[in-house]
Amino acid sequence: MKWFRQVLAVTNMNLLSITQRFGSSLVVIIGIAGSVAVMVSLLAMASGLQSTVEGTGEADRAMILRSGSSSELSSVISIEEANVMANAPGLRQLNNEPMIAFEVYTVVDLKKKGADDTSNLPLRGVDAMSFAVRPETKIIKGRNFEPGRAEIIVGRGAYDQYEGVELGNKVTFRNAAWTVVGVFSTDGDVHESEVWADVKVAQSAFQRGASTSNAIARLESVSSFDEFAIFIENDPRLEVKVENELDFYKNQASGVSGIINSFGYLVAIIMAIGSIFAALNSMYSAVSTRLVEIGTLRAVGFRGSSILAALMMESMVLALSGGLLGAGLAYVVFNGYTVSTLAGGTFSQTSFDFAVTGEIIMQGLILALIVGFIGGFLPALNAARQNITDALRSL
Amino acid sequence: MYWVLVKAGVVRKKMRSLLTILSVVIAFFLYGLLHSADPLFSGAAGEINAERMIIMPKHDMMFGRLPQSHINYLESLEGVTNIAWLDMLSMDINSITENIPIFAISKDYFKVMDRFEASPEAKKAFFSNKRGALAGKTAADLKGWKVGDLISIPTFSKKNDGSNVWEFVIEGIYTTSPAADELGLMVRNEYVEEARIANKGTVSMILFNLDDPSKADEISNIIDDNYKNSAYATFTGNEITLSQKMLSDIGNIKLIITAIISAVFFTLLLVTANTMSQSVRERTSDLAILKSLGYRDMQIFISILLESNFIILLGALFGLILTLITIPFIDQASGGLTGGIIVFDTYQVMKGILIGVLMASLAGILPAYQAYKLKVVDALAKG
Repeated sequence: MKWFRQVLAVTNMNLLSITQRFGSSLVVIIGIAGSVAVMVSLLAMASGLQSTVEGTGEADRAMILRSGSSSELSSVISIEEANVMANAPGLRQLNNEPMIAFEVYTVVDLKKKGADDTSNLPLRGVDAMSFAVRPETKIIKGRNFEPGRAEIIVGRGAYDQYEGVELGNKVTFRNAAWTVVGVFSTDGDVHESEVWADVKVAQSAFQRGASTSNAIARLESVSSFDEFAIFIENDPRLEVKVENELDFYKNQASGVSGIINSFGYLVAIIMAIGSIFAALNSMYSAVSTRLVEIGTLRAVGFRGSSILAALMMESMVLALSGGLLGAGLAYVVFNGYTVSTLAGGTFSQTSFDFAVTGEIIMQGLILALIVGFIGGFLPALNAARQNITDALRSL
Repeated sequence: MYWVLVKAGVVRKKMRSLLTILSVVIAFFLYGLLHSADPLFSGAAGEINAERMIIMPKHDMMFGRLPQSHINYLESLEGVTNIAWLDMLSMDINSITENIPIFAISKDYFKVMDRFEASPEAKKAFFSNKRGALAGKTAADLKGWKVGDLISIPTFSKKNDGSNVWEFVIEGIYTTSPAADELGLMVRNEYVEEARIANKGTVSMILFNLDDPSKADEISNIIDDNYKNSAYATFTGNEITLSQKMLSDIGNIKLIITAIISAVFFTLLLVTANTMSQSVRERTSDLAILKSLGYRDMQIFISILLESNFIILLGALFGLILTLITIPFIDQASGGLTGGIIVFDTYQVMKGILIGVLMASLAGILPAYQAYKLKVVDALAKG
């Protein structure tokens, strides 16, 4: 108990005197804040991208692509194949119709807001069944397209990112004019970066004939997947592969967000090493200007270990404030900030929000505390071990 | 004379100088690392230049197709000298080092893309074997391929016999700059065109040279305008403009990097300014004694500035050297993916040193001014 009271007393004294060393304490705080802010922002970017892409899909849905295609873009499904698949076992039925939607997937280009050049974004040709298979789809502005007309609805992410997609506007994709009639949301997944149109109109506009790109099926239950997949993959009339929708998007997410993640850690760690040197510097000078006080404390009976603990506390408090400042800065500036990038194997834009999660903030604060610990330990040890007479003599 | 003062200032508190120098080292190390990725973002790595022209499918650069009739049209254009084309047989961005990209190249590929090189024997053997292949040096090292090896590779293209596994015989090795492009396998376009089921009569991209590079924009516009309303619209540009277009789709990475570097240097400025002002504060009486010995105010001012420059430049030097040492390891760790793309050149070094001098002067100027203004009587009275 006595030891704790000693620690508290010295810590209190140290913290109260921080204002006298305001400059060097501020350097420690800002240095650590910088590293934490950079790390938190980059990790938030990676996690935002990952949760958007991985958050797409349900376990009871299956993606069907041409075998050998790694993305919807390079996949083709003929009408004959579509007819075979519609009779597969394991499909959920809706008003006696199998819940499987055959969609056209292609890329079109639009200008991002403020960009000089156009970027690719996916256009998905869908029909009523597509909406039934993905019940999370909601029209949040305007109305749905009417079948047979050259109308498009724009995903919420694409709506925020691209120029000229206001309701009522006309946009031109490969010579055909389309009218924007609505905005849709799909609970924040990748489809919000897409543009949707009627599948029949898309087939003719993009010269697909009667063929489609891919199929999405809703199964009776998660456990019907095997039954469905075995039928599809063994039927000699079909040249396709079936993948659980969750797995499909998980595979697409790994690449880019993995790179951003490792980049974030790498930069943050290098910056943290730099901050450790700054913290060491500051703590050494904090200790050296207080040699006499420390010597006096020791002389009146304070133990070396409590001096050590108190100095460590000071350094950790500085580090923690730096960490909080940095994480807070990253949160205020970036949380919810929408950007878009190329994701997965589709080579088209996926927009996502930075997600500054609690876990990422914790990681940032842990980094700050590590810096504070290492930066404070050696100077504190030095001070605690100081010979009392030497310390007092330095007056 | 200044050297004595600077040296005395630096070694006065060795630990503090050392720690400051170390944080400068880290800052410049990070500066070097981030800037060495510059060629990647400017699209101008190695011998990539603006003289080789490429036509790509406008709407889907990666997997889109162009019909062979585009080649016939290109032949009719004046000013176009050599023409080659290539087809991607396998390309998986997420696992390039495992699944080596396979390019089916036409006869004149080496003429048009003259930054790719292979020995005359290798080229001869390659072009006389239908199933011949030239492996990029990096790919060959990675996979252990040797001349004469028969390799089977799964691709996303199906052959007449229904299988998507293709067999090739390695006839030689090709090299190029940047070395990252050596992560590939070249095979014969004639063979692929003959043996595949789908996509017959189409290519992935068309490459050509011009007799006069200054006509590049004009010719590009002619081609793109001609196919503007076609189902196979084109995007024509030189190697640099094309890689820039693809990179701009990934996002504004340059902005992120600039932001990080600014954060690093801002912190560095604070650390050094703090060290310098602390050390000047502690040295008040020493400085006063120097002045009373006859040192002029200006000399003291300069010596403090030089001290701050010394600390930062020493740190910068070690930081930049550390970068140079690290880059080969990055190349190794990436499996050759960054070969020749991550480079740190003299321009960056010079820029780094210039930034160092600027920072040091900024960080040192206030303490130096304080020392300059210092009145001997006051200082000695306090001390």
